[in-house]
Amino acid sequence: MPNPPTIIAPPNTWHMFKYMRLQEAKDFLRYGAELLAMWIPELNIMAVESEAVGLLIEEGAITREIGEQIISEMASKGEEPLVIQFGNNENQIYHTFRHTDALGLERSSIQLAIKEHFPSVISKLTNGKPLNSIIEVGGQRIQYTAFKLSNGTINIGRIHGLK
Amino acid sequence: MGLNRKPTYKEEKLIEHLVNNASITFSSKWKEDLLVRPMNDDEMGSLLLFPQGQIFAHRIFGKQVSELQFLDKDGIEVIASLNVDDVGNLFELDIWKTDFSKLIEIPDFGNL
Repeated sequence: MPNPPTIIAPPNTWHMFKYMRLQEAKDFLRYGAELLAMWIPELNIMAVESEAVGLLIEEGAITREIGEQIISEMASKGEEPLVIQFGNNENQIYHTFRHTDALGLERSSIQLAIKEHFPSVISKLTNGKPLNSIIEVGGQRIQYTAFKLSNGTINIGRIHGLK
Repeated sequence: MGLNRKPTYKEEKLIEHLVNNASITFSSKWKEDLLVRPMNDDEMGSLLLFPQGQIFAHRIFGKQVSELQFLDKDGIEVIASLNVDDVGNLFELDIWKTDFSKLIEIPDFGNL
């Protein structure tokens, strides 16, 4: 696995982004977390954003008030951190993506597309039942299956192309 | 990846159950000389399928034609799917233990 990219700027230079406004800070956090998620499939974007808020305050990149507002907005949405996994090790991840690997589709593109799409169908997910969804990635229709574990984790499997 | 072999009794009965409930019809001789090869899925139990014992490389996924769900011994849900290749031959028994852990045991589908 390649090393993660530098996220906009290394953490020890975040103080250079002095006092971002609310929307700037939210965009900054989401962009950085999604970029990281391309390298770390099991990454929980919301959890990363939550942790990063504290660091941004410490580094002076946002005021404490802005940080608290971001955390408050996340909490008020009633959003539990959404953990989406595609496997926990190389073999499991290979198994999940083997069919789309064969189609030449980038795993990172599929992960991002699923993470963007899944919140729109999460209300259809029933405990103990798989949920199939169809999305388009790189001009190719693909189907993925989501399954919610008892701890709330969403596991994704059976990704394959559709003709 | 393991070697090609004949399916175990429980594997064959699971495949048979999926074949019998598939969206396409298979030859009545689908079982003859069927070979399987365990996939690199961290021991979830998935198999590559080789009808008539013919081992071809570079086969392409066609579609999923059947699926069923069962509980493993530890209570974790497992989804078994039967996939065919792009020309409609048996291609894969995809077993997805939904927490990605190792499959403990395939239930006996011969007793249904």
